[in-house]
Amino acid sequence: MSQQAQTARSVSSTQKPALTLKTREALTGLLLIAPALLGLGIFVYRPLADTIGLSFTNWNMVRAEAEFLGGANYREMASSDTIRTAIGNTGIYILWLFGLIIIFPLFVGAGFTYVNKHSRRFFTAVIFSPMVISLGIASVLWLWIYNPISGLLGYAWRELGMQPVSWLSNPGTALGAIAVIVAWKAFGYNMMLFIAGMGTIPRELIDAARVDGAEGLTLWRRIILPLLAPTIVFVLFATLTMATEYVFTPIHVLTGGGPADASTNIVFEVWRQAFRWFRVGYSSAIAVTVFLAFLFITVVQMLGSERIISYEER
Amino acid sequence: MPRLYALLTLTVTLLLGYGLAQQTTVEYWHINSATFGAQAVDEAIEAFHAEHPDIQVVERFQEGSYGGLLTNLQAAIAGGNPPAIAQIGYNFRNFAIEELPHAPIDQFSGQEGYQEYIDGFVDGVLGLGQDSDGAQHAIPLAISIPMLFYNADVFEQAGLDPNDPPSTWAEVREAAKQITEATGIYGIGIQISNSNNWVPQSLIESNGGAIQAENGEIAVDSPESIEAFQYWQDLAQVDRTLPVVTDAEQEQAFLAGQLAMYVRTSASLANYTEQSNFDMRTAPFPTWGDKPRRVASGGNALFIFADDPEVQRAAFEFVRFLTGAQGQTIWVRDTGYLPVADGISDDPEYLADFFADNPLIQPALDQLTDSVAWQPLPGDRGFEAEQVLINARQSILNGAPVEETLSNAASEMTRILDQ
Repeated sequence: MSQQAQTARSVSSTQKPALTLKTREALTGLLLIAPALLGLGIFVYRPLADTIGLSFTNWNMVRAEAEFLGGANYREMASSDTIRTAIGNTGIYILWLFGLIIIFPLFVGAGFTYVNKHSRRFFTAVIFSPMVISLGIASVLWLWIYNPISGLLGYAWRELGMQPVSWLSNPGTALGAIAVIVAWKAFGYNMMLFIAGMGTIPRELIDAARVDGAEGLTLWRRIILPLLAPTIVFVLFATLTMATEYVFTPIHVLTGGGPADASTNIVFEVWRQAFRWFRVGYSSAIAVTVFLAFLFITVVQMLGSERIISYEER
Repeated sequence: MPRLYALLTLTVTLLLGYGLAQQTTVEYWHINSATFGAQAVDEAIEAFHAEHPDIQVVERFQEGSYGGLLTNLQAAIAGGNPPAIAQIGYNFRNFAIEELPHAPIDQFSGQEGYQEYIDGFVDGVLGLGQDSDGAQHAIPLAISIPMLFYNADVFEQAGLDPNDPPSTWAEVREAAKQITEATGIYGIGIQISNSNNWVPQSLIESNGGAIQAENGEIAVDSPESIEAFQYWQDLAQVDRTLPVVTDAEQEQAFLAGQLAMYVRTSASLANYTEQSNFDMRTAPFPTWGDKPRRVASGGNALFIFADDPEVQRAAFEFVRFLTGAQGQTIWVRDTGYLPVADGISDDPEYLADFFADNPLIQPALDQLTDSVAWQPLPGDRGFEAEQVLINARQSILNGAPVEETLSNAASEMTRILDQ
């Protein structure tokens, strides 16, 4: 015992640190990220674990006990027409938004590269401004535009001698009308990203390509689009989020998923099951499935984007 | 230690400005936005404070009507911090009675003056706060009834007599046609919702049908129901006098003078009177020929969710005040809801002057005897089954075949409710 203590004293007397530099650095690192990890744990992973647990029950959020149902919620989901509609609609939202806030702003952004700097600044500011309006307010604002009786579009349609369209109440147009609101808000942001992305393409590369005879489409296909790929990939995945989550607000405010489920989407269904119909367990099962789908997409993105973005010959 | 505790309590009390340490705080959740009765809430609280200086009522507006309030309430209950009192829409009352932990009103029956208070309600109204065994869980605060709002200026332009509004659905149809032909604006709108079947219930029951028959069977495919929805579709698709739009759009159009008639809750009266700049008038909910009118009473009941006995008692005091003669006088005057307290509508001390000065509310008051309970569908899956009928209505208004759509809806609703 006393010998041990003596050894310990003799070790410390040599002033050698108890931990190696590497371990100390690792500890410091852990300590530094601990607050962030704690936050993530409490606000992301813990609720996620709870949701997975709830998805096997019939809990309604207020009842004291929940009954364990096994996979019944998942089975019900697999055979539900409403869920099928909601997933299909989510896909259509994605297509709409791909067109409206990826392809369209890409063209407009490209157009702006031919415009002088001052007017470009002015127009991009104008186009960007909807981004700062909250989606809830934007939805109400669009109600005044869409209203076929007393709204702006109804007025325009009548002036053109046409019958006004009930954008929000017609099963053929409700989904598109919701997508347009989200697109209106996100358009300017994506366009700015594209303009910035195009700005980083070295002028010499384009000039060199021109010297080699690349013009118009060829120039775009061979030079501009490949060099813009990182921006496009980023915008692509941001748009996926918008098609699932952002559209919730205008759906909630304007159509309630109607008419006859025409404008619902998967996130709205998650919310409606839990907070309108009090089926928290079933709603959790949908949420978990959506989470797994997104996990899959994210993994594909991480694995795939490196290939898309690399410029080397393959 | 005790001294430190006392000091802390004192400081906190002073800081919060309660002044009196024994004052009880009652949190009251309501759906009354600035354009939907907020003034009535504030005024009632002020009057209550004058009478009960020992109770502090704190009001909290909840976004998203009764559905939104209930969502937040669920979260508050799950978090162990429910409000003392909340307004529960009648369509959610069964859910609240069965699922939400609350202090039933019955438990205060030993209190002084309880029987007198309970006897002071309009006949039949208390049923809106009872379970199927007749136990009193909540106290109805507000009753609204759908009625016909119309634009008398447009009536005149179209050559109709604004003093003789249509009283049956057949007359409504003719008047709407005449209006649309003569003025080019839409003749009639009917209040709809994305989350309930309040007006559809009134339409079907007035025609002798029911959403759910007495024997519990779903009856939305009965001839009476089909007739009502067929009529609705004809207005939209054959006559084109009814716009197929969301309710918010109908409301905008009516207030802008571009929709001549609008069947809507009487609770909007005070707000519409203020917002419309035309000669707005009201008439009773139209009937199907000679069949008796059956209008579903909308509105909400007050539930007590506090679990502290002292807060419960204070909460009950406030519920009594809001639903008593004085509270109801403030409430009715500032909203357009109908009084639940008996005998105050012709009492000069309370609402007699108000009703004399506001003939527009009279048609709603006259219909109070025709009111039936707003009947939500039963069970865990009731709300989901309601949505099936909402979807069917939306399809029908867009031109789907009525009989087939309703018969599909009926079997789907039955399937959901049987699960």
